[in-house]
Amino acid sequence: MQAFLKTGKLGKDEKPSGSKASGKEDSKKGSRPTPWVEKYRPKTVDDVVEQNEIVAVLKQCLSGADLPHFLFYGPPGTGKTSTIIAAARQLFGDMYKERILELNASDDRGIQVIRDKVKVFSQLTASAVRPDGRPCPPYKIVILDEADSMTHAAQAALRRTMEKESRSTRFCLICNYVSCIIDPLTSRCSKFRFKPLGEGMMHSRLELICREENVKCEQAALKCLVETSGGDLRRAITCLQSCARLKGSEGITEQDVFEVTGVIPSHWIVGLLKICQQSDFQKLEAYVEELMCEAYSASRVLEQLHEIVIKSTDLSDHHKSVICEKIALCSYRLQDGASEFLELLDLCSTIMKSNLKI
Amino acid sequence: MSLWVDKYRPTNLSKLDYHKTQAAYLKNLVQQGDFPHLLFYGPSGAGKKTRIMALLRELYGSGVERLRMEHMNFQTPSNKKIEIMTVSSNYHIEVNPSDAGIYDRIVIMDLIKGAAQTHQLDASGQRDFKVILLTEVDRLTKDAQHALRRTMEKYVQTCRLILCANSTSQVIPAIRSRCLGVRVPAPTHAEIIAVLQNVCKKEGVPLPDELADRIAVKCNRNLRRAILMCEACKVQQFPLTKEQEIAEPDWQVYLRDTASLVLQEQTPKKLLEVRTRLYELIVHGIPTDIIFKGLLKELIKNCDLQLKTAVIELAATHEHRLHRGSKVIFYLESFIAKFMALYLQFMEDTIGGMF
Amino acid sequence: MEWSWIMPSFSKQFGMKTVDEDEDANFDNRKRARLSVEEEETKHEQTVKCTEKKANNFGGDRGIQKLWCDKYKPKNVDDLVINRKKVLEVENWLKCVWRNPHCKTLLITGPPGSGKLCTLTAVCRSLGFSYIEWTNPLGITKDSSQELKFQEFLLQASKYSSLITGESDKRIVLIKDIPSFLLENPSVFHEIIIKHTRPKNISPIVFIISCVDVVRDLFPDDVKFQLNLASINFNPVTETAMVKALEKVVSLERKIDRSFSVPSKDEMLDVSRTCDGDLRSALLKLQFGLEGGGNSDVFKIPMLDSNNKRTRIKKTTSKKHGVKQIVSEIDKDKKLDFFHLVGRVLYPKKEVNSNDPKKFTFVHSPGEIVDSFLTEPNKLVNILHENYLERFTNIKDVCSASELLENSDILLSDYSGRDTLTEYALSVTVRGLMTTNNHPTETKWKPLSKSRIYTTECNKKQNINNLRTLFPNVQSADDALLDVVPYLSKLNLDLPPEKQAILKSLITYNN
Repeated sequence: MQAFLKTGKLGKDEKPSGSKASGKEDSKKGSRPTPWVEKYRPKTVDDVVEQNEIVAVLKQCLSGADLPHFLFYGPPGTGKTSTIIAAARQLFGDMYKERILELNASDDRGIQVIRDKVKVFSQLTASAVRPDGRPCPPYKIVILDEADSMTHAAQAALRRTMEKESRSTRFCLICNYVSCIIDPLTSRCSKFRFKPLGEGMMHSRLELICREENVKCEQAALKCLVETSGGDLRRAITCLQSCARLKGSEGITEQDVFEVTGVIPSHWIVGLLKICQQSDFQKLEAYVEELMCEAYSASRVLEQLHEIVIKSTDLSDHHKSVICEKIALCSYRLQDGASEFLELLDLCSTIMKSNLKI
Repeated sequence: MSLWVDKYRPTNLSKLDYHKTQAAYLKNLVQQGDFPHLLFYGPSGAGKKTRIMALLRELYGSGVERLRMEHMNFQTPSNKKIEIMTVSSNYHIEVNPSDAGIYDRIVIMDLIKGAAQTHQLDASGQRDFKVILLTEVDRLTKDAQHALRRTMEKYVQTCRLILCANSTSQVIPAIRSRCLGVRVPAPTHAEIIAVLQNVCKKEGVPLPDELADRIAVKCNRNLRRAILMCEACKVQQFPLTKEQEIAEPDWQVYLRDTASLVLQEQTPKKLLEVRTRLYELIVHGIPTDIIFKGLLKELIKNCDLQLKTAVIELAATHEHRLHRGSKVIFYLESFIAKFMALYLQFMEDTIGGMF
Repeated sequence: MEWSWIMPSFSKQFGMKTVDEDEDANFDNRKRARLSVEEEETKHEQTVKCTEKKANNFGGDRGIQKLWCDKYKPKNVDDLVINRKKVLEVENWLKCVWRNPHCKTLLITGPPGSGKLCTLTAVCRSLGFSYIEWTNPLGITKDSSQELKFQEFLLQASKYSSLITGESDKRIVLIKDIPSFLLENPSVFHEIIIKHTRPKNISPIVFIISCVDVVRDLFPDDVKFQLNLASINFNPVTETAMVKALEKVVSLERKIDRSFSVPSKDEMLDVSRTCDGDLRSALLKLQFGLEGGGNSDVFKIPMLDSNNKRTRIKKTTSKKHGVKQIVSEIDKDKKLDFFHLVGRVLYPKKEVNSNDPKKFTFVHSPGEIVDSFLTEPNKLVNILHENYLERFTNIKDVCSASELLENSDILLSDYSGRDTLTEYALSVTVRGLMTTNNHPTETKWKPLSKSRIYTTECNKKQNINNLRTLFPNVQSADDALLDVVPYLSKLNLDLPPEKQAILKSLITYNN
């Protein structure tokens, strides 16, 4: 993976060398395509978009300032891992491997691992000069990806290590929910919140990838990709790649994006609402049944229905509140594993009833 | 003698009867010799398994059809032994981990670890990964799904997972986002008729259009059921006629009768009788959501819209509560009790309104 | 042997006046009585692994006090209180087994204390057969050695004639214990047994197993078929039969020991009712209830409200005999209590406040009932669920009751919070059922039925297992049960009869 750091752009047939500690997709044979997510990770801190605060701090570090412990949090796909990796690569260059320990949730991260792996790593000394005599930062970085899935005991164990080894080791905790990190840890780190990416930025990024990969993609499809990903660039890129794989040399259409992301074509949802406005129960039952037969997921239906209801101009506020409350209840039940058919039917009959009252 | 369902199951991606564009895409997908983890989802009888097997055949050739059955043993941390039936070929292994109940996590971990660590021996010309086919992933415990997600990342080099589920609602988002979802909608009415006609033609059994139409209506867009119904019709009466009776599964009849018992009389005594029948359904392995759905559909037939809404809400509530608890009979019974009370009130009101 | 050192302390604690005086007075008497019983007894000490017994032998401890259930074990077929038909079934099988080389195995199932072993021994005795029983070796934990020992035993037991008695022709092998290793690995067990029963000249094997689960694991239908296994299921002993047996024992005991008063028929009926068809436990209860005089509190089952008179008697007597009260507390039989407490929930007794008729208090505190079941909450909830419905007449009451049961089940299902939630769950159930039934049935008392939840679960598993043996390549049991099985039965397929039977069982619904 060193290779693409330097060149920035990779041809399709280039074999990435080395493997990432995270154990994510790694290719031994040239025939296997690299995930685009890996391929198009930002290479330098400057490439990181929209996260101005952290970029500013990291730039300072790159120019020689000391690096604090970091805690990155924010929704998935906003570039948390990419940022720290890019920074580390810039900091350490070819010494990257020796100076970085990356652990993510796929590794077993009980208290034992913290004790052993992290401790051993952090106790190694880090000199301020490279083998070739050039200066380099005198510390190592431990990256703990998905830190919110660590047990509290393990987090507590980390606290001691962090304190003791702070002379030569910096920690970077990455998580989605900052509330899952125990307070003693958060207080020791400088916290940075990663915002969901803006649509324009995602759009241009996806376009770039399409160009590089020679993928034909309709503008509508790109727009749809951006919309469905909800600011999660990783998801958008993965989807794009999946679509491209499925379609082969054919161009990607909006329909394909729908299919891959599991988004339900809006005519289904609109149709559902329309039927709820009539008082023909039999039709409703048949419609819900059909929706299930089409294998659309009920939770997705709820999500999209919610979207439409909130934005709707025809519905009164009171009406909206009734529907939304029921949507919330139904999605909660679905979470617990309740039957999709029953929940949808319950929701729809409630909407129907409330329509009748008004 | 094999069943029609098995006999006329298409084995090749290009021979599938419907969702033909999807089949072409799937072909594209495996053409590069590799594919991401896949998640096939769709209602039962839509042809998920048929597509998966056709895909594997496309990838590995006819070797995947030489299946053998094996028992695999797993051991829980508390030294309890679990035996799971697996179906495998040289290239893939198929498991239904939800058979292990609450120990599904162990099955998943051990199985994937085991499969991933034993490399393909004949690497010459073959793919350098194995395929693990997990069925009914939506019935896995959350714990197992998280374990699955982790092992998925770890062993991506040596194995590919194909997951099969009835719906994605019960699959955790982390897994959904790591797989390429393949939606398999149930075949449409017309598609079912076409398949039935096709099968009957090959069997040399003339199938009247009306009968085909009626079967297609009755099967709830479940192709497997449709073909079985058709074959049962042929056994019952040959040659087939257009108004001949289509046999229904016994459990469906029993479920309907149970519902009509509820409508007959709304007393604790009747409820006791209904309870015995509910036990009977549970013993026969009828899933509770099917019981709820079947009862609900029958029960609301005579209700007005107001009552319908109330009853549906009851059913949804109790079915949900069932997932939080463990003794299914409590929830079924409570639903029936509540319905009885509502229905009694409703009947009294309507009769009272008449005078 | 053991009794001799346990009993004295035991009896003293129990305030029994027996041991010393009693022994002096009755010892000869008893000895004489016993002599006739045990005259053929050869002093059999247990050999290390297996005990060879002649069918007419009884346990050879020369203790002073002997348990009635051992002492009055039926020796003749006529003494048995078991249904005559069952006895005949066993007898027929034993008679036929020597002639039919294909049917070499018998499985006797039934709840504990239903007389499985007694019947077998008595029948063996009457037919003049002997039996040799496998006992799990103690102290051997290694799986392989357990398995080996078991195989060795089977081989020796059936092939070689006993050195002592020299008889081998009319001997059966009895297996009551199953080595734990084989319990965990049913497939190994199947292999051993099937391999073992292949030769024609082996001794017949009788399995006696009371646990339904074990039967299901060890003898699935296909194995049963391969073994050509005959099975006889014993039902719990009926109330009348049990009372008869109890009366008989009491009258026999009276001949030896006149120190206790004969319990009334009602009392015996109560004992038998609370024992759920378990004769052994009934005898134990009777024996320790009567020891030290007929008025013992232990025997006095606290009566349900319908039998209120007796409860009051009990109360007065217990005040007089404080010591006995303690004894009864110690010896309180779980089962006695169980039904009693269930009754208190199902038939709550209220004391209405004289000033305000709307206010009332419960005679029996629900809190106490909750406390007594903290260790086995599901047992209480299940039996209440099974029985509450019959005592309700109003469907609205049922609504609230059933919802409360739901709530308590949800609370009980929360594994992580069970320390605190169990109590709440029970409280919800107990108080809920006590308060919701505003229109109880007229009839005072109906016998309690057993909960079907567990058996339903077992049978469901059995059905799915059967399905798996029928279609080993089916992955989704739901799909198969919902679609394939119902239609398969309509296709008149050419299936072997045992598969046909499984198929039938899968689609047959009782109305």
